[in-house]
Amino acid sequence: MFTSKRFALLGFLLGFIALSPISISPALASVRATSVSPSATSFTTGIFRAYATATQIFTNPSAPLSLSMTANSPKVFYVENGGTIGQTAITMTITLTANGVITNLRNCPVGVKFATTTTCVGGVTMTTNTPTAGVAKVYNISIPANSWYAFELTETKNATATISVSVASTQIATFTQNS
Amino acid sequence: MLGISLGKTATATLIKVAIAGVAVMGGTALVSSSVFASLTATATNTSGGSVSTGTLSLTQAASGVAGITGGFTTPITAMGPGDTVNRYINLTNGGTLDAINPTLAIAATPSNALTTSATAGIQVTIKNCTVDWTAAGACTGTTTTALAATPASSLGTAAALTLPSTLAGAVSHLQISLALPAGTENVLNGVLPTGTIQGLTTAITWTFNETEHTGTTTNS
Repeated sequence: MFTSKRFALLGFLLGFIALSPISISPALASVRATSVSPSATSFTTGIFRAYATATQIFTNPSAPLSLSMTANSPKVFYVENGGTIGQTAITMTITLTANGVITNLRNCPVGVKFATTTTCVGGVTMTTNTPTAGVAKVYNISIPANSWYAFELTETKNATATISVSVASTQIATFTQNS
Repeated sequence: MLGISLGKTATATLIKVAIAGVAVMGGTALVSSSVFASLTATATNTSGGSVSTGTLSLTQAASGVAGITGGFTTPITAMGPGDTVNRYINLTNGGTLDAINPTLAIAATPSNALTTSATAGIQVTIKNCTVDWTAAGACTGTTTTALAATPASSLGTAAALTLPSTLAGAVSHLQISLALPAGTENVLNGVLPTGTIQGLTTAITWTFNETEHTGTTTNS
């Protein structure tokens, strides 16, 4: 049951609500500014790869080179940089069948072929290396992209030589460019 | 006739409610009337009180220093592990409002290891110089780090930049370094390793943001 006091209170509230001013809180907006690059930056990575080939052809064999060797008879092969990044070194492993022993591994400078078994074209100086069959050896030679080195292998048996060449990311020429 | 019969007590109650309601409305009306009445005494400023809003504007432009004008538009090619390319951008708060909270985000298309690998992908470092960078990449003023080396893979979400000033008119001379970590890839007999970082291409869009400074109250 509504009492007179409750009706009085109800009437008071109705009157108060009817005459109360309406207040709207202002919205808080944050202004942002954006700047987008006028075009996207094209970013491309190069390729570093080296391999051994019997002839100087720049075709990636995707496999080690297999050479049929005659005892004590020098044979020429090439190590090529078929990538787009210059190399400062390569790692080469020469394995021999028939217990062959490597007696000589010579190379001419970059881009120079052998003139004879003991001379490079133009008389430029050869480099003599002393690898051990079956053991990986690092050759600190600088090979720009699309360049090659001529090597000449001599060993002691009629055998098959398998030549593997690898390049690690620590064996490439790096740069810092401001542009 | 209403056709409703009320008892004596109910009738008295309704009368009280009516009186209370009328009293409130009347009282409020009296108060309101007094407010309206005060508005009739008007004081007007003699000259126009001008109110104008400021502007917030952020722009970027390649450095104008000869030799380092590549900006973001010149392609970067033949990057290898261990390589770094520095590009130079002037970021200008060209509006009339001071700004806060500068950020950088990137978007890359297509998405590949360059921008998804935190260890082998692109690393972004940003430094600020108080004056233009030289063509050799040197700062003859004061250098500060705006963004420590951060994998591009984590810049899909805006990262905060630490700039010496974002006041109206401030210019940040930024050196943006894009580097590939030295990595551990080994290419045997011309065969690239699985998941290689080599031979990839992506296109990176750079988005800088800033926010209007915190609102201030001025007594003047």
